[in-house]
Amino acid sequence: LIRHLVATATSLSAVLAASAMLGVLTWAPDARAVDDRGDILTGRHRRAFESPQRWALEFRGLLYAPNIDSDSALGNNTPYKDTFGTMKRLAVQLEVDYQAVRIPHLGTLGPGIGVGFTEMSNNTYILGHPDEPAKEQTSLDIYPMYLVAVLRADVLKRELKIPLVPYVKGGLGLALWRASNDAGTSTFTQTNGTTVKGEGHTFGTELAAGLMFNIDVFDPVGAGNLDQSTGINNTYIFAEYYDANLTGIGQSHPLLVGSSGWAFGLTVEF
Amino acid sequence: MTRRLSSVQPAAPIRAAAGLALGLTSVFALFAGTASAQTTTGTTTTSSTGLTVGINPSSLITHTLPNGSDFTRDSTLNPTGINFEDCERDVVLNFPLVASGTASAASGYALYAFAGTNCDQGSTYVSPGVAGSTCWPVVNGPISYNLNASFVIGIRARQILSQATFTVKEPFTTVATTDDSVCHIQPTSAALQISVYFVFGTTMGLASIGGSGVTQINADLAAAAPPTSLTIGIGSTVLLPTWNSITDQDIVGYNVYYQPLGAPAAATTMQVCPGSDGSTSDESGTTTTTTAQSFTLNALGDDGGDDGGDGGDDGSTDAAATPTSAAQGCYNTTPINATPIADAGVPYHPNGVDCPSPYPAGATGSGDAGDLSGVSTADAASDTVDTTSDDGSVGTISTAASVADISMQPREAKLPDGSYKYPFVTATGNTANSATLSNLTNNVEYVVGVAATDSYGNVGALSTFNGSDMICQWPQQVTDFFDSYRSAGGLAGGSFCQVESPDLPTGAGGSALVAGAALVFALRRRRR
Repeated sequence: LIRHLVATATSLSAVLAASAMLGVLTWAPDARAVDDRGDILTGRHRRAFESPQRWALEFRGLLYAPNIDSDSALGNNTPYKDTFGTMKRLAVQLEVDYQAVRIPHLGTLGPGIGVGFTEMSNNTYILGHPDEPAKEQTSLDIYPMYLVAVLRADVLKRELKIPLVPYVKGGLGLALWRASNDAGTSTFTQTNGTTVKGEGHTFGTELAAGLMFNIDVFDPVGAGNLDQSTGINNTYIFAEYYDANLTGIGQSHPLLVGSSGWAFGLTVEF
Repeated sequence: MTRRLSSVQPAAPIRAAAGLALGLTSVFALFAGTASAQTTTGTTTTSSTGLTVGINPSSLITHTLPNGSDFTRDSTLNPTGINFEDCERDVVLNFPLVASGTASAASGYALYAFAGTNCDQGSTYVSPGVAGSTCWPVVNGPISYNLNASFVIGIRARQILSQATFTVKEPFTTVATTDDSVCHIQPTSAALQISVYFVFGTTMGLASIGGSGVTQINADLAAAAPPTSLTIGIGSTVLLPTWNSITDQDIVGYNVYYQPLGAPAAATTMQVCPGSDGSTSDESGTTTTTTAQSFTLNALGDDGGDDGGDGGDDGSTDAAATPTSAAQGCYNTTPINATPIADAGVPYHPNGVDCPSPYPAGATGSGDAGDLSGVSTADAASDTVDTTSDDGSVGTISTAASVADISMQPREAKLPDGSYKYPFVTATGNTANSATLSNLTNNVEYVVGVAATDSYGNVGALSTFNGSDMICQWPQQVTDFFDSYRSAGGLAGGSFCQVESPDLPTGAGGSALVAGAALVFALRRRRR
């Protein structure tokens, strides 16, 4: 299922990227001038109706591969790779931003919070027989979260009528994780006889930079109607490179579940 | 010391009161026109006499064991029909009837019960034993009835089935309680449809019909085919059987039976007390009063002997029967819940290995091994007649017939803790093809088999594996990701909220999220 989702996400990402490229290439300022009134001198760019804009909501898909094997405590061992392989898994996330400040001739700035989920699973193998897979499944669930400051530079869109909005994010990250098998949460019996449950959390930093493409240019009238009826000001697709550097800030024994890579998705501002 | 855990045998006055209440309830329901969730349908024909007789539409056809215990199936499993177990147990089908008319009209008529075709046609009726006869009596002679009131007629399943395959229907013959050959008359999966007639006639010849009613009884005596390609996947304290499902729409699920192989348990001994025999009449056709019966299980502090009367030898741990309270018909029993023998050196077999069936000799191909107390079947070496007690457990019947053995639903075989004597898990749906057997013990050999169940509650033959019907497999310690990680030197783990550094308080993660959310809302309020 994960493979299928990843394949689907990859395909979707390709489509989104192609759509963005197509949009840039085919975008015609004259076509939108019918409905939009741009005012370069005042820095304002309004539709006939424009509702207040305070929030942004991102539906995100990430290609996720935790850096567990980079833990120096593991030496040259690679338990994650040995168990789950090297294929990146799809993670889904939801991010909400509050656009607290509008910086003139630049864009919006405000806090954002994101919550996501990803899972990787594979067969276990018989103890002492690594070449003999058992039918029981082993899984690792990761819930990556972050609290970041988000700067969306929509000056290009608002003042130069270019439907591209670059943005950056930076802040703190946190991931809850849980290792499990068919019997439930995994446990490990230590040499002193005590058991350790296979769950925990990891702190770190979160950085990201991306580019949003405003798809309202394809249907300015529809976008205006959407704003009037629902309060959604802008709709974007985006591509982003993220770095969830979850190395365990203040933690002595973290599971390095951070990842870096590409994220894609849809953003609405309202 | 014997300690009675429960007793559900009502005293005679209570039973009488219950019967009266039941009767009043039925009459009230009849005249009030209320109908239960599942009613029995039938057709009533009124003749010129004004007499009518037919199934009470507000009541159900129920099943009771010969000792009077209720044996009606769950409403999802064709409870009014006859399955193989019903036949082998020779259950009594209790037909709720109502007859109406004047006493003068009823004068000269008697009520009879037939099975067959066109048994209410009067002039075209051909007497049993004569070429062309299509009806056979299921009750010998007239039936006692109550005019203008509801009443119940109990008819044995084997009597209803007895002549279903006869070309020429014969006069009434009592099917011996030791003869279960009629239970093997249906080798195909299509259910038999038998009409049961209740007819007011002047004689058994039924030349003159004074009123009649008919209802259809379906009988499915055929076992489901065994699932194929059973494999048992390994896990830690779990086994994961998979199989190929059966493409038969009549299949409603699969029972996966499993039990550890090893020495018998030493301590768990029970006393089994059958329910008292009700005052039903299951053969004469006289009016019956049905009272629900049941059995009790009494914990014993020592190891007793065995359950009394093995209808089907469970082939395992039961010792000789030792009645402990003849007056109550109580027996001691040691159920099969063997203490596993650990085998740390078990080899790895991806799909399990063939192993001896723990079920009775001659009963391979059956899904449930166990006692068949109370079943009057004595036609096979492994079966003995037991008319004394019913310990409530059911099991395989091994017959001398060549028809494949069919096992039975162990629905009554419960231990005091509520578990089944022969544990199984159910996979629902005819396309189900896997199950999980959990809470097992690693390095202990378990024998596993799977059988399909159909819409009548028949449990089919067990899947086959290298000529046997059982597979042995061992849950084994497996290495999952967390094992690998910790074994490789990783140190993470504990709990979601555990913080290993003194720098951060417990719940710091959650606190950070809450703080973030609070910040968002604070900013929003400020904006307003």
